[in-house]
Amino acid sequence: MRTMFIFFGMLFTLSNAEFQVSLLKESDGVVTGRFADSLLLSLPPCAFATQSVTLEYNNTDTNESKTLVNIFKVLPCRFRRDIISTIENNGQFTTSRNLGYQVTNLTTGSTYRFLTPVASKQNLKHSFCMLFISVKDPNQIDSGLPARSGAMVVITVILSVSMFILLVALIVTVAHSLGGD
Amino acid sequence: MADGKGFTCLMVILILGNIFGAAAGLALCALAIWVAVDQFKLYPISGVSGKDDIFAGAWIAIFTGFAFFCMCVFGILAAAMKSRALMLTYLILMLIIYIFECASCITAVTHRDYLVGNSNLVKKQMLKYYAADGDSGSQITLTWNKVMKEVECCGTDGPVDWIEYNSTFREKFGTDYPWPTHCCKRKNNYDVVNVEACKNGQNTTMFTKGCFNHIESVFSRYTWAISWYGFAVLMFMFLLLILAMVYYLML
Repeated sequence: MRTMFIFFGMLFTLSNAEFQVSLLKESDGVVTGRFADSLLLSLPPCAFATQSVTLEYNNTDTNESKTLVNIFKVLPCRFRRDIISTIENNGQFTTSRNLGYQVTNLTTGSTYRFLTPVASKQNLKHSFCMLFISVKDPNQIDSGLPARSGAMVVITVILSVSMFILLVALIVTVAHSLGGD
Repeated sequence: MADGKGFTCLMVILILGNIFGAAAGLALCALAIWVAVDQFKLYPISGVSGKDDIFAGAWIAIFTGFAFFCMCVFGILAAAMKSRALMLTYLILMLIIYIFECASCITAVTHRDYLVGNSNLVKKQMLKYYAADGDSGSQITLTWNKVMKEVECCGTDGPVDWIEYNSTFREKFGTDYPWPTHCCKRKNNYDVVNVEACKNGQNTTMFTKGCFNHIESVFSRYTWAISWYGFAVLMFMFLLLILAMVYYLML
């Protein structure tokens, strides 16, 4: 089983507000935030609106670094095309919700460390989270017999016993009738 | 031996029992035909893995069900004619059919445990054969596409199966589509509602439940038809045969 550790840091230079960078989960409206070679990350909150976001990540296995500069500006809670959004329309009004940003072209089986300075000021606050991606080999799945069900045991036992009784009874019947003749 | 009331009573019971047994045998034959026809078209899932003895049990039950019908009609004749030779023939042939029917019941219920006891076998097969080349690959692909479309499900336990495990599908098509597009919701004209949203995993645009529940319930239904109904018929035939042996001894 190969695993990839992803270590995120996002630096923000605004006030003392802090937020947690995290992987998107089911409660955010997606099936999973972890794909084979990409991840869905949560967005910085709207309080940092119009700040440019730069993402720097480091593969700790091979020690390669990559920086995505100015990938997007923190959103003022409005729809943006390059951010993953979901639009819900119930016939009366439409709401759009921005879910996250997808980091792609990652390598399975590597450890990454992410760092994002939003702007270069002082009072940097950062938050980190550890993420694991694993891709398993399907040949490892044990597809042998899991367990015998109760139905199987009952049917087999009762039918075997009844077959035996019938066979014995038939032999006794034929022997008796031949002996009687 | 005695030609008294007890003897006549036993003969009547035997004749009535054989009439009922003939009906039960015919019903078994019909039910086994239903299983063999496989209206849910899930045979490839069991066939590719080599564990298709639920259907083998169904085929045996078609023949034993019809054979029970024929032998019970013969039994009515044998009991009414009070002939020892005919009754002995009846007993021996019924025992042979009984043993075959037992084999059918036991085989069907045992192989159900192998196939759908847990989701591992079905999942492994899906990951290996979906989108694979060859006969097995195309059969499994068609079957899964049908199931995903009709039951509105994705993956065995859920769409995450496609991500957690490597698969032939991923090796063939890369990681752009994390799961087959049959996992995506479609409009009435069969267009995908939103391909990008489906690729990102937004749960409003794709099916998020697993298909294993449906597959397991179908195979269980087939198995209970063959094994439990066959068991009921055999228990009835057991009593009938014991009575027939007593009648034979009284002849």
